[in-house]
Amino acid sequence: MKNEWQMVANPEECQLCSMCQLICTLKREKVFNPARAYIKVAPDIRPSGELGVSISFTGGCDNCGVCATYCYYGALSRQKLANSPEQSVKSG
Amino acid sequence: MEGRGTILKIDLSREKISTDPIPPELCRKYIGGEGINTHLFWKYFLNVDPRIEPTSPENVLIWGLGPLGGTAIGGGSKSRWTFKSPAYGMFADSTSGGAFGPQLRWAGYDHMVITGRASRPVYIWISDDNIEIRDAGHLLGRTVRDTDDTIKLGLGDGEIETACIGPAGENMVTYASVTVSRYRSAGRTGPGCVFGSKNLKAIAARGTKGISVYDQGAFFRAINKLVTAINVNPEYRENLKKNGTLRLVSPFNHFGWNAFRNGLGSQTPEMDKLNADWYLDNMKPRHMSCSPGCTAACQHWHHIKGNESPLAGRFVGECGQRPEYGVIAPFGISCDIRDLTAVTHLGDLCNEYSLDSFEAGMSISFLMELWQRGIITEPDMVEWTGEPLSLEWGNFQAVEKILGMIAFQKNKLGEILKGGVYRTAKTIEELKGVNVSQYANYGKGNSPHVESMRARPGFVLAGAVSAIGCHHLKGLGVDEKTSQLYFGTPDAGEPFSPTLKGAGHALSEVFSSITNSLGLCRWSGAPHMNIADFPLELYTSAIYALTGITITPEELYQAGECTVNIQKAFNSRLGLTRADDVLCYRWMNEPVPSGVGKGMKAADYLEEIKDEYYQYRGWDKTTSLQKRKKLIELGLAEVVTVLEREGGLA
Repeated sequence: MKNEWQMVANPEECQLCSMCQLICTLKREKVFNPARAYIKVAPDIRPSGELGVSISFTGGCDNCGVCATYCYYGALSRQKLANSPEQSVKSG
Repeated sequence: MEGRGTILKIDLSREKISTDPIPPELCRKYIGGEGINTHLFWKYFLNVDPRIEPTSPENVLIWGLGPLGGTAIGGGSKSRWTFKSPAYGMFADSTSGGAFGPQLRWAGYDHMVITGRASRPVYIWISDDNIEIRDAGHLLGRTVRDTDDTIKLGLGDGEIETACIGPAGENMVTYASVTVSRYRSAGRTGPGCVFGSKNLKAIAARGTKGISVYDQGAFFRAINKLVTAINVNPEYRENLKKNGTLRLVSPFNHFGWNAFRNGLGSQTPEMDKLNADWYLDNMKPRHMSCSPGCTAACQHWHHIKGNESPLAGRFVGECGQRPEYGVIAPFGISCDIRDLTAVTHLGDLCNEYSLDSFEAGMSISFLMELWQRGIITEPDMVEWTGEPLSLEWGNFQAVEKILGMIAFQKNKLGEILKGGVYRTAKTIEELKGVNVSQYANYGKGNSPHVESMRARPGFVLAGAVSAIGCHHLKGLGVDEKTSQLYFGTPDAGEPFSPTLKGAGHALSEVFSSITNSLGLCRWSGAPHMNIADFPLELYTSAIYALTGITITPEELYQAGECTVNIQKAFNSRLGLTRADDVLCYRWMNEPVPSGVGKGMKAADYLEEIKDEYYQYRGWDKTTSLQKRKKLIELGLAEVVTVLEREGGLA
C-alpha cells in the first residue's frame, strides 16, 4: 500500500479539528491518542498574526487514507502513485 | 473499563495527590462531565457546610470532560467546571472548549477534584502519571497568553495545553473566568475567582496515553451517524458552520432581543457594523474548530491588519479567535461601541485578564446609563479613577481602561465593579444615596445577562429558574420540530409566545445537561434544542462503542434529570426557593421598545410559565421545592434524606 498511494495535504483547508489524528489511532490501535498519530497537524501563527497550519506524515504512515476519509474540510486526500510518504506541507 | 479515565484528586493545602476509579454504575447513572461533576460536588458538600464563603479554602473546584470528549465522535470536546459560585453564591458550573480538556482525557483523567488552598502561588503540571504542584511565583501578574507561553517554555513542550487565570482571577474579581487553551473561556459564574482563592494560577496538561475503545467498528458507525445528522441539518450545515454564535446578532436585532445601551433599547441602529457579514467581509478570518473532534468548525481566527474600521489601526497585529455573541452583545450593543475590531479587542482583553465578558460589559454599560442620567458625573470619575473619564455611550477608550481597572484592582472604580452588576448597583446606591437598581440588568438576585430577554419568554424563564444564577445555557427551550415530537404541537418552539415554555424549558434543561455530561458541544455535537434531529440513540450507541456499557435512551434522559435535580437540591440546601427565581425591574416591567417583540415584558407571563415549569419538573409549584416522590423515582433517596433533615423538601 505504501508504494501505491500517497497522502496529499492541503493545509489551507485545514480547520484544526484533530479528526485525522484521532481517526488514525482509532484505526491502528483502537485508541484516541493524537500523540501516537502518524499525521501531525500544528497551528503556525505568523508574526503578522495570520494563522497558518502545517501538516506532516511520519514514517510509519502507510497511506491507508482513513484520515482523508474523515477529513470533512477537504484538507487531506489520497492519490495513486506516490513518490514518497515523507512530506510536509505548510499553508501560506 | 475501556474508554474511561480516573478521578484525580488534588488537595492543595496538604499537597496530596491521589486517584479514584470511576465505577461503571456511576457512569451509567451520571454519564460523566457535568453529571459526575455534580455528583462529586454533592458528595463533597455532605461533609462541608454548603453555606461556606465561596472564596474560602473549603470551596471545591471540579473539572470534568464527558466520555465522548477527546474522541473522534465529531461533536467537539467541551469541559465542565463545577464549584460554588463567588459571583452569586449558589451552585455553579461553566463550560470551556479548547484542547486542555482532551489533553487531560488523553492523560487518563476524566475528572479532577481540587480542594484546599495552596500556601503559595502554584500551578499544577499534569503529564500522564506525573503530577506536580509547582511554584507559580514567576507567573503572578501575567496575563493569560504570557502565562501560557511561560509555562510552555519552562516545561519545554509546545503541545501542552493550559487553563489559566490572569490578574482578574488573582485579584479575586467575583466573576473572573478561566481562560483555556489561550483563547477559549469558562467565562461565567466565577471559576477564575475560585482559582485565585486557591492560589492556583494555572493547570498545564499533556496526555499521551490516549483513550481506549471497546468496539472499534461500532465507534466508526457512531461517528458516521452523528456527522450525518449534523450535515443534513441546514441550520447546522450552513448557518452554524459559517458564523458560529455571531449568526445570532442580526436576527436578535430584528426580533428586539439585543440589549442596546444597557437595555434602554432592544435594537442597535447600525447592525451592519457589528454583524456576521461585516466580520466575514472585513476581517477575512480563517475558519477553525475550537476543540478536538469538532466537525462543524464554527470558530474563526482573525488577525487585524489596521484598515478594517476606524479604530482598527490601534490593534494592528492582534490576533485570536473570533468574539462570540457574548462579547458583541455587552460591548458592541450594550456599551454601543459600533466598531467590531474594537469589540474584538475588548473580548481578547477579557480573555487575557480572565474576565467574564457578560458581567464586565454589562457592569460598564450600567455605569454608562447612570452617566446619561447624570447620576455619575465627571467629579465621581476623578475621585474613583484619578482622571476625568467620560462614560458617554460608545467610548471605547473608557471601556478599555475600566476593564484594566477591574482586573488589576488598583483604584476605587475597580473596587466598585469587582462584584458585578448587582453589587455595583448596591454600592452606587450607598455612595450616591439614590436608587439605581431599576436600571441594572440582572436576575436571580445578582447575575446579569446580555440579551434583552423580555420578548422571549423561554429565555426569561431560563434566566429565572436556572441553577447557576441568571443564565440561558441551562436550557434554551426546544425548537418547533422537537416540540411537535414531545408535545404534539409546535407551540413550545414558537419564540414569542409563553405557551408551553415551562414544559419546553424543563425538557431542554435535561438535554443540556446530557450534552455537557457527554462532553460535547451544545451547538454542533448534541444540539440541545433540536432533539428531534439528534435523538439520544446517537449518543447511547457511541457510549457503548467506547466503553462497552449499554445505556438506554431512557437511562440517558434520567441521568440528565438526576443532574438537574441534584443541582436544584444543593440550592435548596442554601434556602433558595421560588421567591428567588426572579428577574430585575427592567425585564419585568419595561416593555420592549422596538422590534418584533415590541411591547412585551416579563411581568405579563413569567409567573404562569414558572408554574408550568415546576409542575413539569415534578416540583412543588408554590415553593419550587422538590417532592419526595420525584426524587425517589430518580433513585435519589440520599438527596431526600438530606433535604428532609434540612427543611429543603416540599
